[in-house]
Amino acid sequence: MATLEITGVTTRYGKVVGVEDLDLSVGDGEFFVVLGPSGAGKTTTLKSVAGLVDIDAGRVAIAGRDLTGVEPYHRNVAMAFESYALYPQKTVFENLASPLRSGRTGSYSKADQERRIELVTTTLGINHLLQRFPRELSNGQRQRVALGRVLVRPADVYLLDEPLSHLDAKLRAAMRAELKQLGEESNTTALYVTHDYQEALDLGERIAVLRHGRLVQVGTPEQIWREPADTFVAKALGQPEINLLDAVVDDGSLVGAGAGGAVAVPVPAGLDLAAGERVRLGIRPRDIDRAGPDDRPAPGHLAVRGRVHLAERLGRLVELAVHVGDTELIMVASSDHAAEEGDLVDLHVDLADVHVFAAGAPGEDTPRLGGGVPRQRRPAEEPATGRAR
Amino acid sequence: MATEIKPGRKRLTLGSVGADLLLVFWFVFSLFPIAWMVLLALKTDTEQTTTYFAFSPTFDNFGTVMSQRGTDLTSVDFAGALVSSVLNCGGAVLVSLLIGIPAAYAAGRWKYRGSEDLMFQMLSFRFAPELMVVVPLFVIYNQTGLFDTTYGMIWVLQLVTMPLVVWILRSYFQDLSAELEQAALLDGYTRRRAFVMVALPLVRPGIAAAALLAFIFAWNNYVFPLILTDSNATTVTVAVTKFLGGGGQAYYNLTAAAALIGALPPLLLALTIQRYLVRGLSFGAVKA
Amino acid sequence: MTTTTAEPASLTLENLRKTYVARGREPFEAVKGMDLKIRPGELIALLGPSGCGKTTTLRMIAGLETVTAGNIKIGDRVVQDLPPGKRDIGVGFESYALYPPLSVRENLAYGLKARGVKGAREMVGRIAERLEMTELLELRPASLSSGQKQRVALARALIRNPRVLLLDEPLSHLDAAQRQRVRRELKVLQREFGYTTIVVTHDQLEALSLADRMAVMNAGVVEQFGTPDEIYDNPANVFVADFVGEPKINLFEGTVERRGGDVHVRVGREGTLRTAVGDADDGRPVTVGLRPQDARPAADDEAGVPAEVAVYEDFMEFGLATVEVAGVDGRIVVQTPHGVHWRRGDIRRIAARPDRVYLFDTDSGGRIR
Repeated sequence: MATLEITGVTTRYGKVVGVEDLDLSVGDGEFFVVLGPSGAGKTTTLKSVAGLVDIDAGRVAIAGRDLTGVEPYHRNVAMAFESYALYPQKTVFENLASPLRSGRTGSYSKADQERRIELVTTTLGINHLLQRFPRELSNGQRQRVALGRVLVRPADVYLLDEPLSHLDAKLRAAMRAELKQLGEESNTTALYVTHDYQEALDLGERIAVLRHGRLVQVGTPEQIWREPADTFVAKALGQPEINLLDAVVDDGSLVGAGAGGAVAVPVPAGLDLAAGERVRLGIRPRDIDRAGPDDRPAPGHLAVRGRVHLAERLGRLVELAVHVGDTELIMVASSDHAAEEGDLVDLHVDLADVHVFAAGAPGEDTPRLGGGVPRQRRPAEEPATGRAR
Repeated sequence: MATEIKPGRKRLTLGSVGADLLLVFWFVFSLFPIAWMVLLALKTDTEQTTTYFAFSPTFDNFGTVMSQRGTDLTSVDFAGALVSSVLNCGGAVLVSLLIGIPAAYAAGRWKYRGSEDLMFQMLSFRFAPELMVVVPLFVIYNQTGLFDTTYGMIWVLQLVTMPLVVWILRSYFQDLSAELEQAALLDGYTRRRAFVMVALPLVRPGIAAAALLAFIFAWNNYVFPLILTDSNATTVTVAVTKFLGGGGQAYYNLTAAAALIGALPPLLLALTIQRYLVRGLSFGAVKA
Repeated sequence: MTTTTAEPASLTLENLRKTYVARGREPFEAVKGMDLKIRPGELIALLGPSGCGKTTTLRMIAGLETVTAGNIKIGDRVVQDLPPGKRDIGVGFESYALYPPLSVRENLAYGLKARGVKGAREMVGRIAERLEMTELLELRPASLSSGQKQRVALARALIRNPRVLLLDEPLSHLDAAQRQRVRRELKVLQREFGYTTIVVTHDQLEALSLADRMAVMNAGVVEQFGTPDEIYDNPANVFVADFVGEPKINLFEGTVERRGGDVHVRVGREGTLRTAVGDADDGRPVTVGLRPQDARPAADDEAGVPAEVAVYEDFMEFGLATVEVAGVDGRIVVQTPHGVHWRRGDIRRIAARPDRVYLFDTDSGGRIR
């Protein structure tokens, strides 16, 4: 295990930028997630660390050792490719044994090899496939073999490129939980690339958000969620997407532009905004609570009334599109006491959950100004009936 | 009301019959020269100019061509030419594989300034008429003592086969995901071992196809052996034509027999590696 | 062609069958006797895994596939022997299938002109006005957003003012964020114009959120037909329960245990859950279905299943606990709501509302009520 330092790395493919001036620092034993849409430079980041692409500027260091000019096979990193990159002419067993037989990852007797392979294939649920060839496997099985080829060997840094993307929903959930457990129980330095924000929030000790080859934000899941650096990060996390409302500063309040003055929140402390200045308010659908008609909003809460325009069932939850004046707010509620379309509903939002971003055209991403105050502590951890161990 | 659908049977229509007739005609037309050559090879000297289909077939011509008797008759050592053809072409293919496989790998994997131009230039060797270069080559070969030697022929035929091998194999290597070798690098293997262990086995069908095509091209080459060899390293293609009047008389039946014998080695080669070839063609067609 | 919207029609499938017969192969029954009554103006989703017969059904309704047996009726009119163009049906396909070199206007008019329909220009203008996309008419497909493309594709399906609209996987090629927006838009448009609509999809979330009623199909058979609420809250069998819902329902073995008038189910070594099942024999082995979203900590005086949290995943919007229960094979997943956090190693007693604990027959998979 080791630390990983990426300093000012720029990698271009001809004129196309893969990543630009990227700085990341991954701690010893940290499970670090890189999140971004396709084309954000996630895979390039991994390949730059592995030495599989030539970097144009900057440097990569593992355990303090500068890797400039070091061949991939001398870097002691393991990587799971999104394309699996399994050797088609070799069986699953031979694929898994390949890193153990190269002599550069340690020396293993036949029995050692078999023991390691047995262990990792049992964890991944592929131990019945050892004698098959990759062409005889489903995509989900191939992906697990690719993951196995990485986990079977020791490495200073593990690089994982969308290792769950081709699994069906059920298997993905199970494997994600498996990885979570693996990450918690072992002390591995891992750089994990994904476009799935749920995977990122779940697995990452810290998360880096990339866009167009540039780093947008680094932080713990909590920080990324509570204090998104800009509207891009805010929109990238959460389903349904965060609500963004245009607002104007008026007499110490941020007044929603379209909602006929119904949405008005005090300017968050520490934010210096001039009267008349335009901003955008961000409110996550899950931070909007449905209240009874006579419930008074708790102190520090925004209360608005709107009419349900559309109710869409999403399993146990119902997604409600609520019209407040001529602004639409998306929220989710449990199907057990959901409103019907056409109902008037009262909504409460904790002011600590209102984010303030700079004003911008629709579709344009703007930086965060404040709000969405990080809580002192996590909202009450539910008391358990007991603790194991 | 809808009814149960029965399995269909292809119906005979005027169009489909016409199309079939056209195919039969084309088939006969294209096979006729080959059939005629086989018949000719089985005729005796006296029957060789007749156009009857009825004659008393003999296999003597094949014996004559291969033996001293043929040489005495026409002053052509056909058996010797057969051997030097195999040596020349085999040597040329071997050289082009040894150099062409790594070259194709490099060309398929790495892009650098002018890499495309280089590849095109290589291909353009195939466009250039051989007659254009053969005269200067003749002069050079005479000066350097390569004239009428196997080494000389291997060298010149390699000019024909190398571009072919590189072009065919390059596309095979391009179709192969580079991430396979990258995975091998991260497994701890050197670049050379990654190439040998991962890439090479996967393009075996391509190598077989390239080798076969290269062999056929080299085998069929006529201009280079005609000008650059005399009796020592001359090839089948040149030797066959000698039966048409080398010793004063034209032996069409012997020519046909010699041509049939000369067509055998590439045919046998093709049959032996056919297995690889078919797989190879489909392998190249479908991107993994 | 009139300027008013055609009255939405009902669509009825009666014992609809499709059998593919290929020489040298066993006949393949793609659709095995389907009965469906769709009310005028209703939006119906056909949901199922690939190969379940949902697309074949759609193609039979559209007239792109012959019918082996049974009837298709639009209103009172039997249509299965009519050619596709005479059925009064608009079809929107999986891809938008817009011709890139043509403008939106030309794309819309193309099909009409090809069929020699008169007044194409006016019809294009009219549908564009109704779908509020007049400003898009001169643009090329490449410059449209995915939502706009969807609108154009919809316009093309609707241009001949059909009485029934069929959509084949309309959202499958959009990314998650787009899908959500376009889905909402599609639903609003359908509401507004009231077309009788059938949407074919393999995405359970899409079906739940879009449909007035939905048919869950499997191997050529409709397993259940009902509103999204009925399908989700009251699955008819194990297949429906397992196919609908994300994260997937927990299915594990249990034994019926009568306690006074109530039916409980024994789970693992020391757990019990109260159910709302009316009657079941004591000691009967059953398959228990419990949705992760319905599992919650048990109240002190409530029956529950003791479980240890093996993995806790925090997604900020909610959490997932993978728990181990003594005596139960495999793990059980529990979803914790927004704002609630558990920890690995916690011991919890799990329970659920009795009517949300589903019992299924171990062999047939049918629901025990």
